[in-house]
Parts: sequence; C-alpha cells; structure tokens
Amino acid sequence: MSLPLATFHNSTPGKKTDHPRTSRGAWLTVLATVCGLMAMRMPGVATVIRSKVDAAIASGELEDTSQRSLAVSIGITTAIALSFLVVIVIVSLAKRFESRLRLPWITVGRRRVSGVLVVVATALVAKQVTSFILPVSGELWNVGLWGSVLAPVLVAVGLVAKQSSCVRSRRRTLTVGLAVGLLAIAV
Amino acid sequence: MTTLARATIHVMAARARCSPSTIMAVAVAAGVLAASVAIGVTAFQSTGPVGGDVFRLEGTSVEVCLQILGRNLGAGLLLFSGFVTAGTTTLMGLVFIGTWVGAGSAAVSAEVGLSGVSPLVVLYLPLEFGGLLLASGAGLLPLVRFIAREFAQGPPRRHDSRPSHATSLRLGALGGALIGVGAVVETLVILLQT
Repeated sequence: MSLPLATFHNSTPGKKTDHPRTSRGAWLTVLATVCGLMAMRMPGVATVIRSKVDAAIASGELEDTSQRSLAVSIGITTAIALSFLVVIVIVSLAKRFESRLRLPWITVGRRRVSGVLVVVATALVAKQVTSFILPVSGELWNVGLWGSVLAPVLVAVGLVAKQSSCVRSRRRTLTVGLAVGLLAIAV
Repeated sequence: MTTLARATIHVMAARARCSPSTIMAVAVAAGVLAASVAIGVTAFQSTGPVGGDVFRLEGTSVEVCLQILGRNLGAGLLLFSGFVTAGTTTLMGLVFIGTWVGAGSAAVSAEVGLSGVSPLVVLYLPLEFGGLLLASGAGLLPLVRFIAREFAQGPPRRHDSRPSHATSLRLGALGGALIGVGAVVETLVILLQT
C-alpha cells in the first residue's frame, strides 16, 4: 500500500505541522539575489584571473604566452561555473536542513521565515556585497574582507537568537546559527 | 524555469522513459560542454603550424585502439567523477575538456583547413561526444536531482523521490559503452585511411 505523499508536504497554508518550512519563493528570491550579485562581481573576478595568468607568464610557469587569452578564458569559465554551483548547493542544503536545525522563526515584513534562511541569506549576500565594494586583491586571508562579512552574520545570528524563549535555547541558537553562518561564508 | 522549458523536459523524459532530472542533468552537461568548446575555438590563437605529430597515434591496430580508448575513457571517468563530488569535478572536467576540444579543433582547422578533415569523422565523433555527455549527465545527476527535489513545486513526484545512484551508474555504463564503440570505429577509420 502506498502512502499519500501529500500528507507529508507542508504546503497547506495555516496547517499546523511538526516541521514548518519557509516558502519555496523566499528561498528562490535569496538564490536569485545572490546569483545576481555574483554576476555583478564577475568583472572583478576576471581582472584577478587575468593578473594571475600574467604573473604565471612572468614567472615562467606558463611558457606558451600566445595562449594567454585561452588560459584566461578557462579560468573565468571555471570560476563562474564553480561559484554558481557552490551557491546553489549551499542554498539547497540550507533548505533541506531548515527544519532539522530548529532555529527560531522571525518576521520579515508580512512573512515569517526561518532563522536558517536569515543567517544563510545574510552570509551569502554580505560576502558578495563586501567582495563587490572592497578592492579584490586575490588574497585569501584579507582581514578587512572577512571582518566585514562576519559582522552582519553575527548581527543576524544575534537577531535570530533574540527570538529564543529561554537561555538554553538561546545558547543553542547562537551555536547552531554561528556554525551555519561560518559554513556559508567559508564554502 | 519557464513553463515551456518544463513541458519540454517532461515530454523528453516521457519519450526517453527516464526522469526529468536525468534529462536536465544531460542538458546542463551539453550546455556547459558547448559553451566550453565555443570558448576554446574563439580563444585559441593560431601562431603557425603546430606540427603533424600532435594528434598522431602509432603502433598496431590494437595499440591504436587502446590509446584512443584510454584517452577517451579517462575523460569519461573524469566527467563521471562528479557522482561522488557533488558535480564539482564534472563541471571542471567539462570546462577543461570542452576548451581542449575547441582549441584542438581550431588548431586542426588552422593547419589543414576544414576541407582537409576526413568526412569519416562523423562515424565516430557523435558516439564519442554522446558517451562523454552521458558520463557527464551521470556525474551531475545526483546533484541535479537533489536541487530539483528541493525546489520542486507541490508534493514530491515518484521519479524524483527515488535514489539516483542506479540511474547514474546505468547512464555512466552506457556512456562508457558508447566511448568504447567510438574508439573501435575510430580505429577502423584510421586503418582504412592508412
């Protein structure tokens, strides 16, 4: 006997369920926003890749200098493909584990969204906006960059934690929220 | 995704008797491969003759066949490796192999011209490219199915709630078989021409 799958799907408005989930539209909005910001950032990324290829040519690592444009094109295409893939995977994973992470829900405008969405969206948007505003240096350990990304994430986690009812729950929210935010930034 | 694209995917999936995710995975792979080939063709700078030895295969017919098979199957396995790396290596492989094929085609075309290319290549190129595409689709399928399931409208469909491992492995095996047949046909074409 097959079970009716619709019973387990929390799409009925106003229906009280054990595992409430943020609407698909909210997640897609976050995904589209982050992808749009990332697309805006691509010229900067292309400049970094171009300078890295030039550095490789100058150091003798890349011998055939006639294929500079080919090397730059490969670098840019790989960067674009991997960046979008990583963002889509992060958002999909966050959506998947939204109910299991059990972060408090907060009201944004007329919508109630889960803390996971708030933390992940803040981390991804902050990372893109900061990389867009600050000059891209290509260095991995740029304290200014990571500090500027981390600050809004800490604020978002604090806001979500404020919704917790007791101290124990608040502590758990802070720990889980920070872990989720740091993961979203690091990947 | 537009309604038209979704309807097209569902019609193709029904005709091919597979899930829409499988069609989507192969379509994504085809898109990335086509874009990479185009980039390779346009970005390659021809700086004079590259020498006829670049694409030369030597040895007995069996050795030539094994060389072709090893080269193409290696590329196929790289593309299939996304099965365990959430599609990352498949995407990177598609970009690298696509640009390599594009740049190689541009080099051949610059050296001997398109008229110098044997028309018999149509006998094996579709087989080899088809095999590589199926291997790429197999590598991307777990990821595509996961994303499709997360962002699907309404309750999960029967096709998308099933694990994709068996489909991926079948698709990968089919891709490998096509690459193998392509290698045999390519060897026969080379023997015919020498």
